[in-house]
Amino acid sequence: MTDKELENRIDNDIAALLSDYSRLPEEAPGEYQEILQIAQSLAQNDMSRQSHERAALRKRLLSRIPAQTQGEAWSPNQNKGNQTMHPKFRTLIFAAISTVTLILVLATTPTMRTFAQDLWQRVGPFIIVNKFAQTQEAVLTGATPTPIPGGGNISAQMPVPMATPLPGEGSGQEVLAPDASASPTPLPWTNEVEPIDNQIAEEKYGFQVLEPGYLPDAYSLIEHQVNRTQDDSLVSIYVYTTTSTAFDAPYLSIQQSTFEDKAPIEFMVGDANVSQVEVRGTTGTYIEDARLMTVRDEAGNNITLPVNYLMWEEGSNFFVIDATQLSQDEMIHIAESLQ
Amino acid sequence: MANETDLAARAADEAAAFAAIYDHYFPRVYNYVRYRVRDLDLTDELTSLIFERALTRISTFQPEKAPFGAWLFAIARHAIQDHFRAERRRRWLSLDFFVEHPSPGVLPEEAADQADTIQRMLNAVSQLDAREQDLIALKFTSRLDNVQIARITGLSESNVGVILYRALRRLRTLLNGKENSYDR
Repeated sequence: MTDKELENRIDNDIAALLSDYSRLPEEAPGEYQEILQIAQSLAQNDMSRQSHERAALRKRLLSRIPAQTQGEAWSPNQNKGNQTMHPKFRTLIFAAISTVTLILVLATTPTMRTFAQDLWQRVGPFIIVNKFAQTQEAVLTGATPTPIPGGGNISAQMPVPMATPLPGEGSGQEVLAPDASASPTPLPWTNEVEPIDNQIAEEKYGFQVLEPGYLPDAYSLIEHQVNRTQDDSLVSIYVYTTTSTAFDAPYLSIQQSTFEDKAPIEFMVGDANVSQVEVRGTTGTYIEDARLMTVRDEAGNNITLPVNYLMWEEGSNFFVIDATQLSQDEMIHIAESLQ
Repeated sequence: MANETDLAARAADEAAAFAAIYDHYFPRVYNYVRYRVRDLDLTDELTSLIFERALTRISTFQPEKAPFGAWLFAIARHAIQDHFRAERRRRWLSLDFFVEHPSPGVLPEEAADQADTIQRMLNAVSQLDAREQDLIALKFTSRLDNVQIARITGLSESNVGVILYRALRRLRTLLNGKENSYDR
């Protein structure tokens, strides 16, 4: 294949890559494949978590938009194409039409059914998305993933449990052990943290750390941390396991964090089941069998374990309980016992 | 993003609409700036400037002329160009530039917490010429197609494709540590 032919071909291949990062063509010369891998890496690199301004800028910009027109009052500028209808009605009608359309296409179109899995729901700082993070998809398909530091659904400063170490990366990404830093849940805003204790958290910052009054049999505390992040968020995390020394020993963590005024974080849970549940007098989100934890077995092979998550908002706090071997009922029981 | 045009039409007056646009485009714009300027504080500063300008001018957005993404990235590109022009002027006038801006490839404050792959990529991109950097950053952050990129940059569509391909080839050489005249 000549250079000219490759020049003509690459735009189509890049377009395919941008719509689906995993789509590298099989039939291509080695150098061309390498070029496409570079394109893939360029498209996947998300450096925006390095921003120190994202949340503050958002707040600043939104504060400049007149309050009286934030969806409450009608202004002639709001609907240039339809000046006879109040925006509230437009929204309602649009929502109704969208819902009906969605139901119809889900019932009839396989392609749209797949698309519908990308619908999300918001809980606390997370936007739960039924799609796979790149690293997760790669692990599940057995490919060697390109690590996406700070990308996907994992906080930039956390170990990335899903990423398989690449040769030459030194220790590579951490294989999960039952310690606080290895939680498979993306902890919000942990750019830099200052360890504090419960008393300081409460007295200085008004952050009251809740502890579980109930734990399933055989679970015991491994670690508890309270941290204050660079952007003044407060995060508490308890980690529990059993005495099992197996590579897939039970894992349980309880996280509590402040979350107001933060930019949302996309939390990709793949094909996990996502449902709404009642917890502590509010509606929470339960995610079952999210394949977000990778451990190494005795033979050194990466094994993906399913994790269940229970998340809910409570006042200005956001809670996440995640566990590898606990049922929804057990997790709700733990949640109800927090005090 | 679904209903982008509708959101853009409402964004000047409706915070929720602007917030949706901001949340969707912030990573793309930030990454675009990051590929161009390297310095973390400056990236934040320019990204802020771009969104400030976008909010100020959003009522002038005309969907019939271009998609919203193309409009926003045109603002981003102008902001970067303004920055480089100002920087050149400052460099002529002062030696402070050399103090304030570390040389490409040496970013000690990042070395500790950035992944090697991103760092290597940023180093390699910084060695491309300005036009190649611009096209690479636009292509892989804005998700615009070559026709839209051609409109923003004033190049022809085929020229965009050729420059991109050659820039990628050169990146490959740079990343493999074998920069030579053949790939220039």
